[in-house]
Amino acid sequence: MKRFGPTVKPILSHEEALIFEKSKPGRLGYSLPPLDVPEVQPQDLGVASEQVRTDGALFPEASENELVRHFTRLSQKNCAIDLELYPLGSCTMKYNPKINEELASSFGFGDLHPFWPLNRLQPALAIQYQIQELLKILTGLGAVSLQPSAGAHGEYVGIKVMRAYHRSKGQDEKKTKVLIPESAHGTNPATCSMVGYEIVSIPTNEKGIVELQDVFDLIDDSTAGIMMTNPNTLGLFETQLPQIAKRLHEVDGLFYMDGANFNALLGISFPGDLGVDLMHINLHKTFSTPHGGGGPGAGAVAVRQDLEKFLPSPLVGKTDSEYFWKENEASIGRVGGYFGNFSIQVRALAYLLSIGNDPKTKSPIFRRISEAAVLNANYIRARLKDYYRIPFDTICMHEVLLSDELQKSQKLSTQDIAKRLMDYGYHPMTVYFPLVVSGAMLIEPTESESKESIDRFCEAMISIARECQENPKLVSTAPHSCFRTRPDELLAQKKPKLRWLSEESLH
Amino acid sequence: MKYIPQSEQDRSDMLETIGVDSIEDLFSAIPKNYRCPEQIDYPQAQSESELRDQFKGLSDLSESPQLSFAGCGIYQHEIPSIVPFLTQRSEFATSYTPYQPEVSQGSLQCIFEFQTLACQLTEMELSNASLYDGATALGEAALMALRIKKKSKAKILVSSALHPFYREVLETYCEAFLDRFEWLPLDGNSLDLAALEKKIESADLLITQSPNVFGSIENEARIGEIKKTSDALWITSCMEPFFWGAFRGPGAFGADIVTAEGQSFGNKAFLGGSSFGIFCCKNEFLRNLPGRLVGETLDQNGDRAFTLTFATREQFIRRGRATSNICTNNNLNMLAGLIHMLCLGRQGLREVALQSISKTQYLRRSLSKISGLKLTKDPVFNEFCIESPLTGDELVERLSQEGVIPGVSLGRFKEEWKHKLLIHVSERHRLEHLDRLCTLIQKSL
Repeated sequence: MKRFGPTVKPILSHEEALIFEKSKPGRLGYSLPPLDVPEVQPQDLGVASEQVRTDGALFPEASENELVRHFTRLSQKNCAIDLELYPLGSCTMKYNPKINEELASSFGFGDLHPFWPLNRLQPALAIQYQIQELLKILTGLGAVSLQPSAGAHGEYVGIKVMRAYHRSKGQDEKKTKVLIPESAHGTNPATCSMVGYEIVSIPTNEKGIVELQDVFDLIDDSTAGIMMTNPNTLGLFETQLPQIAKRLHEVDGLFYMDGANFNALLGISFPGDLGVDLMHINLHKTFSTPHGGGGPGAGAVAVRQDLEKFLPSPLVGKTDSEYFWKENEASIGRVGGYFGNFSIQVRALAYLLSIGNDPKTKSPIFRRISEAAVLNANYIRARLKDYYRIPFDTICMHEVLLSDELQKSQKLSTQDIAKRLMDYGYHPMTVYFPLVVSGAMLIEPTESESKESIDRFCEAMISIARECQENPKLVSTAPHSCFRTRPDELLAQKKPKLRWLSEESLH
Repeated sequence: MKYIPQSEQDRSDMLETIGVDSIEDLFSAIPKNYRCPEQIDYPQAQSESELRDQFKGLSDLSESPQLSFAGCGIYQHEIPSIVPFLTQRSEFATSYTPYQPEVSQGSLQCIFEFQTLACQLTEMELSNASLYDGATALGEAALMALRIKKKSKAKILVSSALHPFYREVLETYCEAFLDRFEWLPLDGNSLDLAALEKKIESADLLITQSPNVFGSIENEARIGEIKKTSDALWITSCMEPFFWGAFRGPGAFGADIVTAEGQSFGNKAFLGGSSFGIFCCKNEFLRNLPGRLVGETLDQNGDRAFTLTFATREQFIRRGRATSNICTNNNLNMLAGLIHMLCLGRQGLREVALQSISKTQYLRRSLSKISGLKLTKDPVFNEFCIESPLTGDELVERLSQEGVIPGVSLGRFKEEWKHKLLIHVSERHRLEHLDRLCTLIQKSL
């Protein structure tokens, strides 16, 4: 970081102490109306006296304005979509429309309490019902649950439904395996383990997809199902999916599609038509809700009509005059505290309704979204292919995979390229994933980026490729312009400091 | 379409660079017979003003009550204005998981501060970066404890006063272990400690909730003593973390894993989601912890920096052997919780707790004077049960017609609870609100 003299620092590089270090006794960041009933102390309640607490949990004390400054300054130490292209592959960092935020904070949606009587909750049920219906159209599947909180949570529901299906047919004992491509997201095998399935890995062929014969060889009577991401995590469409589904159905296995990459398929292909039996959809990816520094998301699960009965209760039903909760007799059970991430669902519905059919041309705008996402990814591929190795150099879907193979001769790796990208003002792409490609860099531009924006990003990448040849040290020591540079992750594990401790408690 | 910036010219330039003739060529990998038809039966796209009208129309489907005493796991508190103001900042809202620490120090420091507060609140040694909600946190805690106790086949003791939705989530998560579950009996509205004493020796796991589904405060000091006589791991659940503004955290009594619903801090009800789950445990279980964890370290220049750490527990590294499949969590809800907790600070946390206690006691005393109502005397924090000759559903329905939701009818969960109404009070309820509820209940009987 260039300093403007010995004592002056640019504002954005201000050190921001921990709030605990700034605390002073007596400072207040809140105001409450005075207590208007007689005060009762906790010790007067008849609770064992050792349970009573008087220390206010030792929370720090700060005034409101200090807190606003603290968090505003901290916010400025983050990259974000609203600042710049955020090419994190597999995460669909598309623009988060502000009307969605406005609607979610309007009309009293936030006040709706999960246990109000049904006639007070009609707005919430109507919103959920509409989402269910629209997702059915987009997936070509017959039923939808909105209860899961995130993608992995949706996977969990899907694989539990798979198991419930086999149990209902009396074949749970023998259906012990789920086939998963080795390029899969880590959540896929983790989910199958949680549900108690044995995982069988499907290799990736030289074209970057699974080989039909490989899958056929692995499918047998013990196959409970297949869990595949489509387009897959290398950014490629699994062209053999319908044949795989057909073969799988012959042994009564179920096809689960990880819908993390659904942004490439809107109005292009209905997963139900491909032979998919059940899938999850990350509302926070495909349907534009903000990622919040790691969440919240929402992981809707869509299933074939006959699997509806296994979904978590309740679903939303509708009569002529009202919406109601529908209990599922054969349900896998509840997976979340209440009725899903409703605050996210409101935003997703706003988006689902804004990307419908074009009033003039009658063609779906959501298809144009997928087309633009795929166009952007392929454009990056075309512009970067002379500078980076593209392990599967073919038309890709909504994300493009590079590797660091060409930079290895300079002893530089994906890690270095990612860190150097920060100096150009970008959040790095997804690195070292998928695992099937050494030094993977997975770039997903989304449809939200203009050609100019993508050109700037490509020029940054090309410039880095040149630096790798001409000035490798500049790259290997990057980033040079960030607030912090390569935090020591080994030290973090060797001497774990996982919370702040006061000076007294340290001694 | 205002969310897609490419112009016609851009498109053709880009296609030319790619070396294809049309957009259609980009989708040639998808077999033609699996393509969607040109026209799809889907509603017409709506403009901003149409969306506003549509959502306004949806909100008009129900009238909001003037006053609500519904709680039972989701509680409305006064949320300081700076909470939504700060959490909606683009840098927080439109970033993602802080895998790259150099460009995520903001999110990472926030999580580190949250982990600290969660430990202080629960009196535990270790907190993760939060999970989805209180119920899934409990499910994950049970799975974690079962991993730690993997060789054993002993009982899993669970309080029968656990919120039924938490129970359902727990049963879903622990489906493979259901034959080991034993539901502990109650003594009135709280755990039967004598029964616990008898059964603890043969147990692997003990799961309790305080305050419980009836609002009653469990004697965690005593439970802790009983637990110490065994090898069982003790998991606690809490639906109202403001409880810890006035009462000791379960860590003070030897709990091994402490879980809680975080919604009360900084998050509106929103039908129960999105919120966040608090998950704390003893240090010794660090490598079994589900979810993300932030640690402090130094960067290459020797400056203090924060980073995700112990990631080898997580699915993106450990895959099938991860401690959980969780990836996206409810981070922004946690941030709202963090800011709310910091606004309150030491004094505010206690003051909100005291106001909840005082107002709850005021209402309870007033209701106890109404003949026909039955109230127990067990200690409660922010909600309590009444039993009336009417069913809870009837009471709710009658008062709802007056614009007041008097609480949650526990009959919605269990037939045997159908005369129980759970009434929640917080710092938001004013004296006149409490008096109005009393009058209305009296009138309705």
